[in-house]
Amino acid sequence: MNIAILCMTTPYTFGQTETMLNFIDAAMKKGHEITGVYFYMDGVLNNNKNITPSDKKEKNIATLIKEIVEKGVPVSSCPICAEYRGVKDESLLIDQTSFEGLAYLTELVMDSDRLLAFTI
Amino acid sequence: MDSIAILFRKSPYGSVFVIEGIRIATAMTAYDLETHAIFCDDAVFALMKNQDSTQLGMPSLEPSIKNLPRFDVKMYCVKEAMEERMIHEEDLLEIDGLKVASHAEISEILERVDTAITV
Repeated sequence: MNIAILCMTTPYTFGQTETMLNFIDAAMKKGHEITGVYFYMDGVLNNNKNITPSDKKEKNIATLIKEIVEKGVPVSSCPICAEYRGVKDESLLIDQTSFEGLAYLTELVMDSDRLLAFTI
Repeated sequence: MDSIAILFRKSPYGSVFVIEGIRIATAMTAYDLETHAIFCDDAVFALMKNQDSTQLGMPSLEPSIKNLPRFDVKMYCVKEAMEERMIHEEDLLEIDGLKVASHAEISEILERVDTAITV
């Protein structure tokens, strides 16, 4: 099955990002394809290579996102949402991710069998 | 997937969820996805007439909401949510094609569409 993922919540404040990453890992191990991850609204705050939890025992969300990118999952963020949050800067993005408009989310939805949205 | 429902659940103005849901709905129609906007729970307040957000220093949501049918977005306001909040049909914005629908009718729509996003 081809699964698109939409993430709309901030890292660490909510557990949704971690749940999303665990889901992606489990789905890929079962042979499903993750057609793409789209960060929207506060979700754009996840796509920041400078994320550094001060508790070293805490999982590093940026590192975990980088790992799924390296496994071939396309990851992108809404540029307008990033602009509103002062993070529309490509130098902040996790490597090999990008800013893409909502048309990209629409294409992801059209090209997938399922859409899973992580929100509050 | 060819169809999607956007479920609006949160009240207008207290957060950006309603306007962001409207953005998603209009984006989906750009590629001719059959798009349904369902206003339930506190989001039914977003469909009320005479919204005045001046004192909040925020633009009114009315123009964006009224514009949705121009993009072929099918719009619904949940009857039970209205009743719980003592909102009557005549209190709602006059929007072409806006349908007051029961939980049962909404369930049928959700059964039929390929996917749904909740905002």
